[in-house]
Amino acid sequence: MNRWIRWQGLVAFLGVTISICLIWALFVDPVIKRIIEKTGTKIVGARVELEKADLSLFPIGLTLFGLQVTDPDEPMKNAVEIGRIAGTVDSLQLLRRKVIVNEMSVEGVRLGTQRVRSGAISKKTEKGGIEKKKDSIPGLSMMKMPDIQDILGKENLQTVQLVQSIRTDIEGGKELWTKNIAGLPGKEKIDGYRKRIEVLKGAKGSSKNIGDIGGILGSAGEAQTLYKDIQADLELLQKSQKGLNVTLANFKDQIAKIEKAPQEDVRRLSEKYGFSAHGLANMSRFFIEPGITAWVDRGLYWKARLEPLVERAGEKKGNAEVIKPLRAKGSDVRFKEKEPLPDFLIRVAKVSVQLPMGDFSGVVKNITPDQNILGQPLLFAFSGEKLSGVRSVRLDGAINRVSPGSPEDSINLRLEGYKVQTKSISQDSSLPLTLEKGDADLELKAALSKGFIDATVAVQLKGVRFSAGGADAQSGFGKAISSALSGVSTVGVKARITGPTDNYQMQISSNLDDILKDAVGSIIKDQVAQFENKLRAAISDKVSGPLQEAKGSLGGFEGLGGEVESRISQLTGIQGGGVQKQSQLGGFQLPFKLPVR
Amino acid sequence: MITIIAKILKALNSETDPAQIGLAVSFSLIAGLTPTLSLHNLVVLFLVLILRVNISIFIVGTGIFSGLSYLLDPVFHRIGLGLLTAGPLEGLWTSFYNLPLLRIERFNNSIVMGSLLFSLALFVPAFIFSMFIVRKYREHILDRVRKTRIMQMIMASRIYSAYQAVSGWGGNI
Repeated sequence: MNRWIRWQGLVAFLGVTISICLIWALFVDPVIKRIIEKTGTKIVGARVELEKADLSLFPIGLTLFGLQVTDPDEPMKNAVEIGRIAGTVDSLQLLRRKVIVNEMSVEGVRLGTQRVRSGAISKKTEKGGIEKKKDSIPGLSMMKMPDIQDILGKENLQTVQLVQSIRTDIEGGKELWTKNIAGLPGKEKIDGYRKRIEVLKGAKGSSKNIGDIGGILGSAGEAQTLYKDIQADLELLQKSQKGLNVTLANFKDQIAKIEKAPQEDVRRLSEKYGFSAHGLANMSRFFIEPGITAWVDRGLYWKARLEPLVERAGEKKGNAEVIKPLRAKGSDVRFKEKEPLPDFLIRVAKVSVQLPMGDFSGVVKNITPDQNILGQPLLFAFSGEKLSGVRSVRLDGAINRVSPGSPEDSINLRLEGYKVQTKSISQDSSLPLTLEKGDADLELKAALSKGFIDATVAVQLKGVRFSAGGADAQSGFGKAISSALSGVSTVGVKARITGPTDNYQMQISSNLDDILKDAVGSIIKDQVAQFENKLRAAISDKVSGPLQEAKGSLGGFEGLGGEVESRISQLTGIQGGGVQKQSQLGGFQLPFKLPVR
Repeated sequence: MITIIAKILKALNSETDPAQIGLAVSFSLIAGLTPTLSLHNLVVLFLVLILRVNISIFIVGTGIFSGLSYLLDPVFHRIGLGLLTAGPLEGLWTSFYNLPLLRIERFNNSIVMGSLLFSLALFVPAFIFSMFIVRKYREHILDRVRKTRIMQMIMASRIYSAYQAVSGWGGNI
């Protein structure tokens, strides 16, 4: 027995085990801190930092201090900063490798705080995200008339291309028809027919004897052959004449179309250079859409980032489900449990958010990546009353992954008595517009189902005051805009957002539309008309020369037509005057001329 | 470090039972190839300490097999996933899954399952093979190794001094 058993090893085992426990107790907090930072950074795509983690054993609980989550779009800002997160873990469930937190408190949540150092982890986040194109106020760009000659120098005009094309076609057509006509029966052949006619006439004169029947029949046969030859050539020439006329008509038709083509160029260039009344009917869109788009995009971005926290992609294999753990290697296979519970669950998290306007508190329920096991969706509800600058605010919603194949999310926000102060609504440097003040009531209802968004936003602003600055505010268009807005005291906006999350559509309507359209509509129309007239005249000047040349080159076709016509006349003359279809009786002239086809 | 190297040399060259060395290699196979923070490794540690297993060989073996496990993880994942999702075994795994002790063991992770079964399958062959190698080494190679220039240099080095000091302990550690 003692040959194989080392009893002092028992003491060593106890010593090693206790040492491991002590080392674990000493180093577990930094290890947890590191795990949270590493996993959080991976999920968010920007640095997640934790000041301190504290794991307590009796009862088992975890407290986190100073959690900072960098905004990936603005690495010098935190998307969220949390002062303290504390919760106790169900010890019995921990034996089943299930982290169940019955109640967690999240205190000191602040949004958009400044960071001491950049939280970027890649070049993309360092740059602060993708730069979005900034639009100009519709109509404002029209106030500066661009140099028409400069535009014509830069742009490829469709009219010019068509003129060049028709000239090439006409030259090609002329060449082709010249060759074709050269191959048609010409002077030599016509002279040949004349000689044959003379020969026939001679033969007819020498066969006066009524008994020379063989000679008469022979002449008749030759006359018939000659007639057929002439007829065949005549038909060939007439066919060619017809084809030539069709070609000529086509070219004339194309030239007529080209003469109208500048209008199409004018329309295209007017739109390209912003000289169009299109868009005036919905001018408020310019001021409102960027804000809503930014909100929607930001919401969708964070939803996508936090998706791993509310849903784990699993693959069913029989009654088992294979899932990829967030941290560990390999895959975890889940089997049917007697008492099904998610691997991770925070039943209730009480959250206190510190906003500049005051404290805003609420609860988040059922935080788990395994909603299908729990059978309940994540729910959240926040509210705040009598805050600084806001009478009341309520936010609630659900993230439903109970049926992973049919994800459904919803969010409702109601904001009452929100005092807007100095909110920029146009970044256009030449006409910056600011909403100086106003009381806003906002209601947002959004639903996201299977990648499709359907949201409505209704905003009612009372007691508003706008101000306009910049170089253009004192003249023409800018003056009209600022003057129109100065008379506005109430603004109502309704927006509907629908479609797939990666390509949603937005419909916006506002009472500002009519106000702005009335104010600047006539100015814009005058500018558009001026621009179009100048452009039309310039295009006509540019193409008139080449177009005249193209018309002139059609004259060549008329010469070819004349040549064919002359040959047809000659052959018709020969046929009508000298050759009559011979009867089988010979020497007897027919009492009528054969019709010329 | 020098002491450990000296102990390895002592383990190979002394009268230490080849079975004890073989057992150390087999246990290090489990501890090295499977994820370190697993419940079964606590059992392995207990057995290594309570049984007269050569600890130096166990430590070195664990290090070597740990390195190897990084390369073999994809293989372990495939083996583990195949076993865990095999239809006929579903009942067995389901009953295991409902036992707290086995949940702590994380048997349902593909790499834990794959690496554990792989190392258990190689436990006996590794034991027999290691004993065979140690015996052959002592019979045929040990004398020639002692006469090599390298060995002569080693015998003149600090390592050998340490080795002599260790061999003075005389135990079968």
